[in-house]
This record gives sequence, structure tokens and C-alpha cells, in this order.
Amino acid sequence: MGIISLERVDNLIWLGRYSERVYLTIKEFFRCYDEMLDHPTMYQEYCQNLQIPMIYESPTDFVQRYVRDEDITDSIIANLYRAYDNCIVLRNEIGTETMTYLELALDDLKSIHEFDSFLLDLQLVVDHILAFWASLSENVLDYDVRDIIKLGQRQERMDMYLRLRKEKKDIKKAYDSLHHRLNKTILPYDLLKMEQLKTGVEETIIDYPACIECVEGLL
Amino acid sequence: MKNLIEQQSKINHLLKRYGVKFGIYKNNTFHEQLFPFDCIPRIITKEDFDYLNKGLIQRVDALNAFLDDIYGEKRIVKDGIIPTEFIYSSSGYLVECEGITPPQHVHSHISGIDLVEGKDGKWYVLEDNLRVPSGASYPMIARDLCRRASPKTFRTNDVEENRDYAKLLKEVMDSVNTGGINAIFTPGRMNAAYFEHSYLAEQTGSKLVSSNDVVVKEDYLYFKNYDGSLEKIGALYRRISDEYLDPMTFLEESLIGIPHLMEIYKKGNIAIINAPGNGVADDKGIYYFVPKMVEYYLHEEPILNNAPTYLPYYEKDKEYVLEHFDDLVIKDVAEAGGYGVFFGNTLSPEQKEAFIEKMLREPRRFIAQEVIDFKDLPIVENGETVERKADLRVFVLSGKETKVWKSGLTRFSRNPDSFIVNSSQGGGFKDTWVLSR
Repeated sequence: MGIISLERVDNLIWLGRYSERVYLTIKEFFRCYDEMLDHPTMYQEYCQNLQIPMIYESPTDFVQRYVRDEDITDSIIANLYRAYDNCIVLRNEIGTETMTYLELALDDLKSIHEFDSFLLDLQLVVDHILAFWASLSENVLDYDVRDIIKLGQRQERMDMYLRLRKEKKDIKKAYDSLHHRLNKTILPYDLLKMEQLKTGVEETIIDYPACIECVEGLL
Repeated sequence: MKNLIEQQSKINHLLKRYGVKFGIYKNNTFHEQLFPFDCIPRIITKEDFDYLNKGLIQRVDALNAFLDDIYGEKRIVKDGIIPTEFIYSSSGYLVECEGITPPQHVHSHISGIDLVEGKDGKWYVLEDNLRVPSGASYPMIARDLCRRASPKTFRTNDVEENRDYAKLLKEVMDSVNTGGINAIFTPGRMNAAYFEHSYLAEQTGSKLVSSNDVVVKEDYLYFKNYDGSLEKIGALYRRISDEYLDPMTFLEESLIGIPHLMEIYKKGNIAIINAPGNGVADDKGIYYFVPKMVEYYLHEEPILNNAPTYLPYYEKDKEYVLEHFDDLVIKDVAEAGGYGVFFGNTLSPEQKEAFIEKMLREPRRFIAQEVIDFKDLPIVENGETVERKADLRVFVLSGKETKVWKSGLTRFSRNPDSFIVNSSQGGGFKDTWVLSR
């Protein structure tokens, strides 16, 4: 692996985690929004599932503030800013070209002011994040840099799937993917927690909080 | 060219996409701002560039000779060319650099020389920036995007390449490297020029480092790899002011510096780009003496013109300044970034009286210059072409030899009544074309 500081390793992991968090929450938000058309209070369940504070007063308030309010810690834009903050210091590692896609994602999200047809605009954010991942695979030549970001991505996916109580087959797939990536990177991780996670996701009734704890304590 | 101008908003959009921004503090809060780009380039003819090239190499060579002398024998002072107090009272003079000879005797590796073109067609040097001049990355990336946006324009105009800046910079770093990797040392994300630091690191293949990433150990500077291994650094292009560079030598409260860096620099175990202590040569008061340096060190006639400058320190100049106060621009030598500059005719009688009293009390602190009626350049604003004041920062790189980058940063004022072009005060930038024939 090329030389890289501990601080940048941390940035790479969190870049992977936050960009995946944004991607997955938008996808989940699409589903929730659609259900809200028929069941307006669905957003309360959404917050509960994601374990984020239910501070919203109405469906409209939820839609607007959850997407665009930078001061709400768990909003989509706040998470995208965190991805961006980690990205901006990694030009040396991931390159200008790859960075541009997160820049575009943030610009598109920031430019949403009209909420009538904003889902179409939000789709652009998803597109840019996917392009970011594609560019990372295409343009970042250092495999270790790629593996660390992807490790962050897989860790976040595992975490989110557990929080969202996804179907077991999806959770198992996320576990396999995380396991594969952990073995590819040379970063140290907590073997015991990984073992516990493996056992946990194979149980008939998954102990979600215990599994989430394993994921969070892995690195 | 018309085709290029039509793409202005698209190019600005691309610049945004590429994160071409600069940081600014407003009300103690950090903001990132886009640096507005105007597509109409400043065009320098081959003939003009040939003249500037010779003059700039001469000027920077003289400035490097001056710095080597000042931190060494001080012949120029002993021979009475520059009064002692102009050296020792300069805030840029660092006693800690006394006796240090940097690798290859190069002190100013990257010199940003600010020029203006007068309406009479003459070029004037306004300032020499020899500490950490910034701005080369902006025209470099803008050129790349302009070529993409309007290939036709570049097919039909003979413009010298400017995307070789990173190559020139790397050559300089390699030429003074004392053994090890090249690194660019940034104070961090919240620095106004962070985009440039990270972009130049990427383009030169250098490591971008902050104070936490490096350590001085057994007389060398090392990059700390995440696994605990160390990688020696041989050339450090620092983008941080002298006073914050090493808390053991300069400001002890600096948290962004590298402890003990100066010790190993003194031993010749690292090249610091630009060398510490260069501020003594780009002091606005010392500027007056640069043509004399050319004569003294190089035994040549200065090629480039300074803007006509007066030092109230000298009795004759003081009288002139008092007589022509309203026609002059006054600069506080302790200020930078367009601050501390004002026009004599803009002061009220009370302000003028108070200022003159201050000037007479501290004559070394001010210089006065004739107002150069410099050429306005066209810019596109709201779809119309209007004229604005603009300057030019040319980058001169010194390693094994001194070379002038065939481009530069043209900054313009967006305010029709202002001469201040600094980005921190709302200015924009243009590409600078040097024609190849």
C-alpha cells in the first residue's frame, strides 16, 4: 500500500460510511415517501426504524427538514456534508475526478428548494453517488485506498440493514460482502466481534441491537 | 473566442464541480466561495512575454542573491546600497535564519510577481511575493476546462501550454530534495488556499501533509504511515507562514507547525520551499531597492520597471510625498492582501492630517507610489462586455535554473470603481494566454 496517514485512513472509512448512508437513506426515503401518500404518518415509523429523533411536526415538515435542514444531525444533507468533509481532504488519495461526483451530489441537494417534484432532483443525488463509486473503481489505482473506502461502505450497509430490519437474505448478503472486504484490507479489526456478528445474523431470530453493536465496534 | 465566451456559465459550473474554491472567514465563520472565472483571457504577445521572461528571471535571480547575502555576508548593507534599518526592522527578516544556506542557494523557489500593464503599454512590477504566493492552480485547471468547453478556440489560436505548471513545480522540488519524498505541507482544510494545496499535491504526485502526519526524528523529517512505519521527506513545499512553521523556533502557540523543523533545516537535512525568512525581500519597503539589487548582484541594467515609488524615510522623497499626497497611492508595508492600501485623494482633511502625522512618526512603515493608469480588461457581466481593472501574477520557478511559467493568474476587480483585485475582496480571475507566435 502507498503511504497513508492514520488520519486519512479514518477519512477513507468515514467517506465510505457517510456516502453509503446517504445513498441508502435516500432509497429508503423514496419508499417511505411513496407510502406516505396513502398513510401520512408513515414518517414516524421511518424515524423509529432508523432510530433517529422524531422531531417532525407533520409529513410536510418531515419531508422538507429531513431532506434539506443542515442543522438536523440526521438529515440527508447533514450526512452528505459529512461525506463531503471527509472527501475534500482526500484529493491526494482518490483524485479530483472522483471527488467531483460528491461535489455534484451536494450541489444538487443544496439546490432543492421546491418540494413539489423534488424526488426527481433527489434521484440525481443518488445518480451522482453511484457515479462516485463507479469512478472510484475506475480511476483510483491504489487498491488499498479503494478497499478501505469500500470497507466503510460495507460496514455502513451492514449497520443500516440491521437498523432497518431488512430481510434475512439481504442481511446475510451484507455480512458476506463485509467479510470479503475485511479480508481484503490489511486494517486490524476485532475478530471476536466479527465472529459474534456471523453467529448473530445466522440465528433464527436476530438480536438486532447486539448485531449492531458488533458492527459498530468492528474497526 | 466567441465560442469560448458563450461557454462561460458552463465553465463556471465545471469549476464548481471540480471544487475550485477558496476559503474566507466572515464574522469568524469559515465559508468556501467560488472564485468567479471570466472566459475572456488576458493575452500576452510573444514579444511581450519574451521581454517579461528576461526581466522576471533577472529580478528573481537578484532577489535570490539578495536573500542569500542578507542571511550571509550582508554585503549589500555593508556597501551602503540598502540602509540597515530596512533589513532589521522588516517583519519578514528572521534572525533565526542567519547563517543558513538552503540547498542550491535557492531561497525563493516559487515567486509570484504581481505586474500591471499601463495604458502606455509598459509593464510595471507592483509587488514581489516570495513567501507562499498562491494562485497558479486556478488558471491551470481553468485552461483544462476551457479547452474542453471550446476546442475550436484552441485549435485556431497559438496559445502556449500552461498545464505544465505541476511538472515545473515537481522539477523544482526534485532539484532541491535532500533525499526522500516530496510533500506539500498544508495548515489544513480551513486554509483559504486548501483547494490549491490539495490540487498541487495531486498533480505533482507529492504527499499532502499536515502537522499530525509528520515527525522530526533523528535529524530528519518523516511522514508517519498508518501502520507505524516512517517515510523520509526530502523536500517540503510548505503552504504556511514562517511564524507558524516551527513552534520550537517561532510562535510557540502554533499548533499547525512542525516542532524541530528548523533544527534539521539548519543541518541541511530538508529543503523548505520557499525558504523561511523570505519576507525580508518582499517587504513593500524593500521593493524600492530591487532595481538596485539587480545592478549590485548581477551587474546588469534592470529590465523591468517598478511603479515609481517614494520612501518617506528619505527626506527628498518625504517632501515629494507631502507635496503630491493627493496624487499618490499609499501602502502600509505591514499589510497584505489589498489591505492597508489607500489613495491620497480619498481622505478627508482630518484623516489626511492624522495620516501624515503617523507617516512622519513612522516613515519606514509606508511607501507611496504614483497611481499607474493600468489597462482595463474586458470581462463578461450579465451578458455584456464591460471593462475592469486587472493585474497579473506571474509565477517564476527557481531550482537548477530559473524559469517563468508561460501563463499566470490574472485577477480582476468586479467593482467598476475599484483597483482592488484580490479574491478575498470579491475579485475574479481569468486565464492568461501567452501566444507562441
